[in-house]
Amino acid sequence: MKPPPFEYAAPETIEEISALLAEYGDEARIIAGGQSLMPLLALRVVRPTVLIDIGRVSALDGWRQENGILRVGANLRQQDLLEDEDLKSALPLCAEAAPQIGHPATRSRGTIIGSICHADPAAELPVCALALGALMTVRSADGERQIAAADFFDGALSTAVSDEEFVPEVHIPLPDVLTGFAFCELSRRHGDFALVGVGCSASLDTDKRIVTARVGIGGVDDTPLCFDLDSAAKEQISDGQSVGDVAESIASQLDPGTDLHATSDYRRAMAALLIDRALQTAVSRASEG
Amino acid sequence: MSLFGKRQVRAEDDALLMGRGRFIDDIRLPGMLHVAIVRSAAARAKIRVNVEAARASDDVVAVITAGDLPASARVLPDCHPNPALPDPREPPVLADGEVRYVGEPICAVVARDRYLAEDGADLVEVEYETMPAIIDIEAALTAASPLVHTDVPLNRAAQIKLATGNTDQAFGAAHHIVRDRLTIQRGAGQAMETRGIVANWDRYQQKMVVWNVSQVPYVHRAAIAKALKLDEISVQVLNGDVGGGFGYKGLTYTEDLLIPVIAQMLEQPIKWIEDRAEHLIASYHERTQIHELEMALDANGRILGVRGRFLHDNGAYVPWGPVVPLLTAVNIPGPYKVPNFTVECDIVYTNTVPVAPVRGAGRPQACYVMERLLDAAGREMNIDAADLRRLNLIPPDDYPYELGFISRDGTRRTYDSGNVPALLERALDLVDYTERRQLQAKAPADGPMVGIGIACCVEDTGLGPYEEVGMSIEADGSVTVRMGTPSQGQGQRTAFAQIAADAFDIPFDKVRVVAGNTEEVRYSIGTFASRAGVVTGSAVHQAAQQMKDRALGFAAALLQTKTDALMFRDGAVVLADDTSRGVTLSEIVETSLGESGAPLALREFGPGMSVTGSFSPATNTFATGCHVAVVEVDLQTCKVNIIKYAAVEDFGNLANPLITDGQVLGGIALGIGNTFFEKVEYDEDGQILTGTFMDYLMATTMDMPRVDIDYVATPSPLNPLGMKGAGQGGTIPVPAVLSAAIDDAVRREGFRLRHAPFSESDLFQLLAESGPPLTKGAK
Repeated sequence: MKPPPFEYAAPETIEEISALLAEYGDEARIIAGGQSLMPLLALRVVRPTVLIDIGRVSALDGWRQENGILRVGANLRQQDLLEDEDLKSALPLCAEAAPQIGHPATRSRGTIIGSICHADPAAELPVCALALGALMTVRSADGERQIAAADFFDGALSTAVSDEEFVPEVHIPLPDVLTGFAFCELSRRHGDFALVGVGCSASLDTDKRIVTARVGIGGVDDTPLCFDLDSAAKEQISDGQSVGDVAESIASQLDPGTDLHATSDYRRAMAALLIDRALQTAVSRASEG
Repeated sequence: MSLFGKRQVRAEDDALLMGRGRFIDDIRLPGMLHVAIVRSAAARAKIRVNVEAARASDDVVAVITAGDLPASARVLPDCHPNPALPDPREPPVLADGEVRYVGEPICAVVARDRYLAEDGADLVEVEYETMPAIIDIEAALTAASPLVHTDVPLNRAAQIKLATGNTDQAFGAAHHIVRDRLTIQRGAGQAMETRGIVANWDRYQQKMVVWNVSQVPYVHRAAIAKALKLDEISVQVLNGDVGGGFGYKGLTYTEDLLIPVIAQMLEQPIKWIEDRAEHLIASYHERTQIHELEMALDANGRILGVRGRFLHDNGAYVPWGPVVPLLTAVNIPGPYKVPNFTVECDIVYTNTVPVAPVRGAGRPQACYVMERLLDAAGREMNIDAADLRRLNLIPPDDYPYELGFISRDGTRRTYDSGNVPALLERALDLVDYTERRQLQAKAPADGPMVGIGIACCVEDTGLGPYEEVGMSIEADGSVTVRMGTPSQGQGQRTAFAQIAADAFDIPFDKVRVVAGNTEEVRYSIGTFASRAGVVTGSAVHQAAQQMKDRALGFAAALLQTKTDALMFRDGAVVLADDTSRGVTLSEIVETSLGESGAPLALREFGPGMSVTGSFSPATNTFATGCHVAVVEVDLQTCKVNIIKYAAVEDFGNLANPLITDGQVLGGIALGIGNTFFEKVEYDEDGQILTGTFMDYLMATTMDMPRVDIDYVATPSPLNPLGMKGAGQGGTIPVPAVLSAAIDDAVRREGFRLRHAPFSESDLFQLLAESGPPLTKGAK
């Protein structure tokens, strides 16, 4: 299949992107790596009037750390999560998820923010954004706002970003030493979207008791979901009791769908299993520092 | 020096790996126009097509509908008539008022490039008056069902029945009977290169030149000639490099006629490339069958008989007669002694993509049902899986073995040669079967769940009627081999060069193999059903013998000796008792062609060194195989890990084991797909739910186990090289062997795989419904 005709814009500044979006609104689509958008264009599922290629906007390249915040630019590729050693140590959860995002060829083009904005409910990086408490910077010609990852995903392939806005940056709070992460996933084949994907972060106090623990889950609903462990659960795990009960209790709140690849029952059971594994691993990594 | 049987590195690979392959989309002709095809969005509907807006577009060159086609090109001809399906419903080239499956071609939009053609296709308005779709083959056979073709009652295209012995008597005398309902769901061939056609009407020569990706260019030539009312000789079909065949390219499609017809109509070159989204709804599928079978055994576990019935989902039209269900029916006994056998099959029309052979072609189903019945019997009678097969395999001394019924090619089905017990023992050795069984018996109940599966199969290969080969010695002493069986990647240029090089005692790179052009030889059938190696290979051998006789006779005259005093040595014909004396092949060619204007020196031989040879097998050869797998099942995730996989094949004598290794590995990759992944899914309205590679999954390299391949050769007596076909053996037993291994690993009451393919989620559901673990010691 070939895309229908569209205009192509290649702005070089963030302001130009905003101006184009202000002009074209819902008739424009942003393209970065194109790994989700190109197939949708080719299948004529989306038919934008204008394609805004942000690849030449150098302000969106790379990543940096500032005041305890890691700022990821919209042009940073997924493959950097596997190859940039500094980024890997700053974002261990995403680095652990990265090998399961597609394949080297797709990761080398696909961007981190592109995947989050595409908002596939079974994708890895939206789950990570939730588990990490990421803040999405959203910008239009009128200015900038920030949306917490927990408020970002509206539905399958749908976000809180309006037609005149785009996401130049994501802000991820940098963890302290006593925080651990883990990402676990089951998919039909290596590189496929997850049947169930779970990302966990757990922070401990100096007594090695859990202060916060958060679980992001993909593949079980129209959007990735996020659960903060309540104090009872945190106490229970800190006391060394079974993580399984906590995992089961979260999984029991899920209502995953049945599709070609797995039943609802399977997904719920695997969610319980992966939450258990990921939580245990995150807590143990946190306590190891 | 013998090259036959050597692991010769493929002559094809340098060009393919360095980007010098020339595939169908690489064909570009001046003034070439592009076609997009509007396909049915409904499974069963009356349609009204409005093409006015499309025709009015400046970017659209032409829109072709059913009514625009010449009468000779409105319906696809029955390219493979078969008496078992006497009155097939063939697809219209373009749907005329009614559609019968999602994806059926409705009209063709022609434009300067594919983008514009698709834009034009968007402008075509199709009004659908939808009717209930017929998808479920059991429901389709009931009186209440609507009809795919109004004049075909019960949607039954045909019934086939095979029988030998006295099955009812055998079942009456049985000590034990197992019965099962076993189902296989359809998948499709997924060659890397989809289909594609470029057609060019040469108005000066009044000749149609077509490039396509055909496995059967001569069949296509005949069909195109008929549609265009041309002589066959006025149609040329060319194949460049082709990226995979999988059987489905061995059929004729509506596009095979449509594109040349448009090229002739417009007198401009036309290109159509099937894209992947199209491929999933436009290229033929295979495999859906429902089998209800039972097996009777005596007290020792010896098979007394097999009987039952199966239903075959034919799809909406008949591309290749009843060949798939017929192959299932004749292959159910496999390599086992089944003295009494009765099987019936209903071939059923549905509102789905038509069904035709895809690599394996009815045999994976046959192997699956037979092996599943044996596994059930082994478990119920507490007989080890290997022992049960040892007891029932046809012993080597019983070959040639007559099965008692008629084969696909109309001959009495007779296995020409084989030794499956030896294959079984070799495969068991490769996985350390005895030790593994001992470990399994001692394994703790909460440890890893490891199981072993075994499956044996038979494949009818190398079928007739003939292949023709042209051969010539060139001025430089090299040899050119011309043939009609095109390559889709099998390595003909390598294997056939090995055969020819041996004949003349010349180096491998002094042989050039040419195929993929219907003007190279006059007659050919094609590359399918594991036949090119056997039939064309034998024809190469035959042509080489003729060529040798001619060159020897000529050399004898030149050297003034007798032919039996001569031999081929290193590019020359030399005296056997003094190899320093002789005449080179180059000199023979030069002398045989003489000089322009002068009389030919040896007039009685005629000019040049060129012959045409052919081979026509008496019937097909039978390849056999035995696969054994060891798997570990994670009872939490229900993921299956293939720990060990052994494939032992009898392809007769091998021209090149490197190539057959590739065939086996590729076959197993498809088999693993057929076991876990490859599934075409329709909803009840006939909408296809697996319309992209997000939903239609195949095994990737990550899903492939390491495979231990070995060969046991029992040379076929049916051809001069003792070869048997190798194209499908890798695929056939895989779902059976993996299902057996998983059952064996899980070992729970009521857990039994009866359907392929299956996912980890399916295993999870089966496990949830199953009973407690079977007691230790039970097999």
